Amino acid sequence: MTDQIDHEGELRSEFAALRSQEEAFAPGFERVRSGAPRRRPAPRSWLVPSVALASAAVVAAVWLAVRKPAVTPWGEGSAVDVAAWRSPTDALIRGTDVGWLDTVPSLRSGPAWTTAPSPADSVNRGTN
Amino acid sequence: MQPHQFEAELSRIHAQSFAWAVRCCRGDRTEAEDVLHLTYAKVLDGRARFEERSSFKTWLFGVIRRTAFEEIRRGMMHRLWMGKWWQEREDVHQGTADQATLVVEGERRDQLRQALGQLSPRQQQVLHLVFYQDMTIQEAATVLKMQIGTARTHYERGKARLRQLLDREGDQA
Repeated sequence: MTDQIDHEGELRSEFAALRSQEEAFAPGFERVRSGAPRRRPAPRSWLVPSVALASAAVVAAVWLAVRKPAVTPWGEGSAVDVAAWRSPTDALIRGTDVGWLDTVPSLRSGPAWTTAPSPADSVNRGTN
Repeated sequence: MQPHQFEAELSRIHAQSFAWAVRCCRGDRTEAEDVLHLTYAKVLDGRARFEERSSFKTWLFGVIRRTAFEEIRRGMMHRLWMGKWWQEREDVHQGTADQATLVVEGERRDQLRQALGQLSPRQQQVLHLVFYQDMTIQEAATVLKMQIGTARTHYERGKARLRQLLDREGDQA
C-alpha cells in the first residue's frame, strides 16, 4: 500500500515537472484565441470548380463516345434525300387519265372525271 | 457566466487546456493549436453552452476533446478525398521539428513522455487528466463521457503499465 502511494506521489511529481516544462512552451492565449489556424491551408477556391469541370468534361466525352446515332427509316439520309422523298402511296390517289383533282367534282359534270372503262365493262358490251 | 468571464476563465486555464488539446491530438502541437482556437470560438460565440453541471474546466475539456475528434475525422476525410497524404508527410516533418524544441532537459521527463506514448489512448487520457491536470477519476470520467468504473479501470491499468515501462527504462539507463 505504502509502495503504491509512493508510486502515485512519484508519478504526480514527475507529471508536475512535465507540466511546468510544457507550459513554458505553450503558445499565448491571445495568439490562439484570435490567430488563424496555422497548418490548415487556405481553402483552394480554384480546386473544387476545376475538379467539377474536369469531371463534367469526362462525362460528356464518354457520353458522346458511347451514344448510338439515331436510326432513320431511310438510313443515314441527308437533307437532299429528305426533300426528294415521295410517299409510296401517292400513286393510289392519282387517277388513270386525269391529273390531280383540284376541285370536288359534281356527279353530273360530264366526262372530265370519267374513269377508264374497266375490263368487266368491255366484256358486258361484247355480249350485248 | 458573462462573456467577459468566459474569456478570463479561458485565459486563466489556457496552458492546461493546451496540454489537454495536445494529448487529444496525439501529440501534434500544431493541430492542438487549431483545435483550441476552434474551441475558444465555440465557447465565446455561444455555440458551446456551459450549463454549470460540472466545473468550467471539466466542461471545457469535454468541448476540447469533442472538437479534436471532429477535426481529426475531418482531416482524415480531407486526406482521403484529395489524396493529400504527401503534403501530410511534409507537415509531419515540420511537427517533428516543433516537438524537437521541447526536448530540452530532464531525461526522466522524456522517459515519462515516451512511456505515456506506449499506453492506449484511453489510458493516456485518464492518466493525463488525473496526474497532469489534477482531476479526480470522476471528473476524468465526465470529460471522457464514460462510466466511472471504466475510467477507474483505465486508470489502474494505465498506472501499472506506466510504472512497468518507467522501471524498465530506469534499469536500462
